Amino acid sequence: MSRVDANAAVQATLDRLVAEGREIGVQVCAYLGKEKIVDCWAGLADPATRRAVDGDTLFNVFSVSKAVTAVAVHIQAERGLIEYDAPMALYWPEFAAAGKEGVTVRHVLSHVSGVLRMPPDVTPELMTDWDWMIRRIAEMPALYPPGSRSSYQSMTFGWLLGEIVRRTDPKRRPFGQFVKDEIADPLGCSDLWLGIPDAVEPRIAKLDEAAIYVAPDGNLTREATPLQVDLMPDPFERPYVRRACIPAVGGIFNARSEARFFAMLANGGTLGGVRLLSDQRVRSFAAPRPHFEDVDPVFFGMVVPIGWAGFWLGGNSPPVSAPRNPRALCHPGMGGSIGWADLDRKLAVAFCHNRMFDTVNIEEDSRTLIGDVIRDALT
Amino acid sequence: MSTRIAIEDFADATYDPFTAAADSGGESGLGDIYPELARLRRQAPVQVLDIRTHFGLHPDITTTDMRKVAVLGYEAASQVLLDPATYSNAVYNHNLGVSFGRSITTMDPPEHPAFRRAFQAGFMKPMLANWSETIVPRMINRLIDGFAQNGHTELVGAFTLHFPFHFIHELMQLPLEDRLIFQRLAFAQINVWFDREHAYEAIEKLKAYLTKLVHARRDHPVDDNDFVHAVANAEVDGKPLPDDVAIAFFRQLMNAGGDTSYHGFSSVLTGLLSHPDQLNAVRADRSLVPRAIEEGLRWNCPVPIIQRTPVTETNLSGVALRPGDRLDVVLAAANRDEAIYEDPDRFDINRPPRRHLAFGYGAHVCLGQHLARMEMTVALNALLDRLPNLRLDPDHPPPEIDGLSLRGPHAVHVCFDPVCA
Repeated sequence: MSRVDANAAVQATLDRLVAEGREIGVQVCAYLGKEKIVDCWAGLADPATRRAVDGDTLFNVFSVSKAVTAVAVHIQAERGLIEYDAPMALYWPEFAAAGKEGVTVRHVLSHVSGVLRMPPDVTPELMTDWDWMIRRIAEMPALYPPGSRSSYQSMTFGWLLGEIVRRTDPKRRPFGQFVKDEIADPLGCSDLWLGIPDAVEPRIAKLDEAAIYVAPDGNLTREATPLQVDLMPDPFERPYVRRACIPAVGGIFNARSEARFFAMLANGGTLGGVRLLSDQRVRSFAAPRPHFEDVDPVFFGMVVPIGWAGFWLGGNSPPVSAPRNPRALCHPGMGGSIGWADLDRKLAVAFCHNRMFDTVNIEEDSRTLIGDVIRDALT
Repeated sequence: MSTRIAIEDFADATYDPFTAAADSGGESGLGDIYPELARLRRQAPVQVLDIRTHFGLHPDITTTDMRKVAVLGYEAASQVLLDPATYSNAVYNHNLGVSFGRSITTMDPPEHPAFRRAFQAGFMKPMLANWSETIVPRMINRLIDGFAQNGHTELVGAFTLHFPFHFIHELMQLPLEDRLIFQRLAFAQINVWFDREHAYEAIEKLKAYLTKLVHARRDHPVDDNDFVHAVANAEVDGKPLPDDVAIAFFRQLMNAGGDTSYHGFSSVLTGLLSHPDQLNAVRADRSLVPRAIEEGLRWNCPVPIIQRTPVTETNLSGVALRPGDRLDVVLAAANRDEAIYEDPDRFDINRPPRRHLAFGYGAHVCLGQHLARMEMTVALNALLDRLPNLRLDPDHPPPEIDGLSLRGPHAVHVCFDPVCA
């Protein structure tokens, strides 16, 4: 089959997923090497107003944001401004408080730092106050000793890494600005927002959370993602939350820009004549982290295939089964979004949607279905 | 074709789509909007302002996230409409695109010109010449037959509300029994900006009907002149017109070609009947008919506002615009810009010819503008020919033009010398 067929096959699949009610609005964009081979969308951006999805529609991608945040850290490492094995406190002295002086950058990238708790007194408003979040995370103790076990930093991941990027940036830019200036703009990703400007708000798709299981309070999941700032339409569709930089989970992207970002990774750190990372460095990201086989208390006691560098790796089941390659660099997001880069195939795929649902079986995983359709079309 | 294609009315048969916008949308009572439009235009021809809520309309629930900017001056409006690369029609994805689907109204270059060309062919001179001698006079005379002997009538209810719709019904060769429901659904489907419930019901039912109709006629034309068949089999750059685009064309047709001509021609009649000297001049010299139509449409255009959105940050008459803005291009204000028209509020068919913006301007200028002019020309001539001494009925209040989404008079009471059949 040809590359034209990949696009047509994905379009037909998206149309079917929408027709069957499995998706409401959805976008897929894919790159093979430097070439965009899929650029498709279907369904409704807003079921209430029936606004259709188009190629420019924006989606909350939740944790897919972490891939971008991790790359910001790797850019600083590439420039010699950050050492992975240095203590976080070297760049952020206040962070050493309450016994956290042993936490390294690598611990945080690998989700083994133990610093997973959100401040219990957080509110949606305070979450958008960068300085408040940084101060509270710095003064709180860790829940586990650094490096002792898998402990997914659902939300803290972003502020932990964003703050050391900010502190090592000679220009001291806000983290969202750093991402725009150093990643999005050079790559030509016009819609890779950590904090939106007013102008793009009308393009954002409305989330539908009807099919989402909401975990109860009183467990580690809720330590990491307190109910009042849950990864749900409320508060993430509040206007001031959309405008804030929440680097682990606040990304508002579209598939076109997200796919370009992952294509940079699939091509070994470069795209469109711009090199952000060395090929060798990007290839190293697929190495598993310590505690790779641990069950994770934040993830309801599941084993999550996470690499050392801030990415998930391809797995046998959702949410990261889409690449069907254990060396693929992925990041899934709450509700079923994903971006992934398969360096072996030089294939990068972004999948954005607005019908949030929990995917248990691989058969019902839209992301894996799309990955299979693209791979079938290319062979 | 023997299979009957069903059209389904509203579940609530008492719902009246014809008065919904006036009653619930807040359109009614927006009479003389022009002094306020002139004040705003003099203040600044482009300004950050929601012109619709400024005049008391129901807030548009489809574009709540967008900043609203009003474009009131003729030059600024022309600049916007002539630059589709900067000022996108994607704003219509929020409202008319929901009503009609993937119609050319929502498209931008490079997609738009190709699709527009495909439809344009259907509205060219040979087609118009044929219609102007066949369908149009037939259905216009049939309507006039209904009241010519009475000596008085109310022209909106008896004539203008029907003639453009009857033309579309005839053009599409719709079964007689489907036509009223078709019109009811078409009126309601554009009300997404204030009444989702009825609008969505209308959208679904009209789409279902037209999808089946287009599919049936694509393969089985009713006769050699089947317009639906011709559009369903049109090509774009050598490829078949996509199904959704063909269906969207018919979903839009009633509103693009019906509401507009109905309101516009009602205002033309109001202008003439309110100025008996000019009406007499036209009656005596029919070469003035086209000028009367153009002046009536300038004086009170049927679609007072069209929308665009900038794709980049830009500057228009000193106002910094950004993507995500909803530009309300107020054609009604531009058409009365004193920098362009002398004494702009006066209805004057003798004013020097000057382009007006009632049909829009530029790449998206009304596809059916020549059809509309032809229909109105035939209609006005027929009314003048068949209703001797046509004048406003002194026993009724004079017509009042109002509205901001669609603008026209609700009633035009006239009397004339009765003619025996």
